[in-house]
Amino acid sequence: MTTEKDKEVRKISRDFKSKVKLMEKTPLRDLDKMFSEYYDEGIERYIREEKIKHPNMSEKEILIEMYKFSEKLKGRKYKK
Amino acid sequence: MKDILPKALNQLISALEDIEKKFGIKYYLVGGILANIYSIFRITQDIDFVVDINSQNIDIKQYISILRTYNFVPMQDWEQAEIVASETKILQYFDQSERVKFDNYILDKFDRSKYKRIGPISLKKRVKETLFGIECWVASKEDFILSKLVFGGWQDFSDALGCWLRFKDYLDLTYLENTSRDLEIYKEYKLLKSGIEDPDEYFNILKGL
Repeated sequence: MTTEKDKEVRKISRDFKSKVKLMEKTPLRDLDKMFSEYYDEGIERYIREEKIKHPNMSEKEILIEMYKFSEKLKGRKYKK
Repeated sequence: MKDILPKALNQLISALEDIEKKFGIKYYLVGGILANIYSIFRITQDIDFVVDINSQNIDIKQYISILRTYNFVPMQDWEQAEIVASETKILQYFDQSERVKFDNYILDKFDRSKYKRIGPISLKKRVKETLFGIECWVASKEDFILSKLVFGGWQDFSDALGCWLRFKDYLDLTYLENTSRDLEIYKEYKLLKSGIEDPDEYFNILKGL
């Protein structure tokens, strides 16, 4: 169970307002580059790791499962 | 493989611009892909966008036959995608590298739920922006906030809050006020503009946690 102290620590460590300030000072091309690097590394590593666990699944099947899981995590009221 | 998402976006926008020119089908991007220009930095896995095929009297079957000429890859097969989209009004498929998923929302002017009413509202105010060096139609900042408040997950509220804190001095507040009432998300909008600065607090208050 999350305590009040946990909530406060989470809030301080997230520091949302500073992130907003940082966005105002970061050029869009740097954000695009950072996004692309994270995305490429993340998706290719995920496929590599899942291939070891499920050698018979194709890369496409692995990604379909990943996207299904990601949708569940969004926790929206409206489901696709 | 490098620049997976920018390449997928380039394929998508080239196709959508061409489709709009040839068939008059208007489109705009929505969702997490706009977070870097409208909110705070985060990664999104898929690309969400809306198309208005009904105004051109094009049905889902015809629209799929158009899409098939642009090298997109169905998740299973196009026949299955058509069956699902007829019910949900969402087509899901991959870019040609089979990495990036597109969630293609079909604008539905007859469904009166707030989840569908936000579609035509946003289309009217779509704007041109540049993402990854590619110029394309996107939802306005105001509609980005409203759609996030409509869908109401934690990430949605966080995106809306980031956009509000970044751009509140430049937003059309009258539009936000009126449209949030119309979409029955005024409670969410009111809390957004109350001075709250943390997404957890925002989410917990709204959910009564």
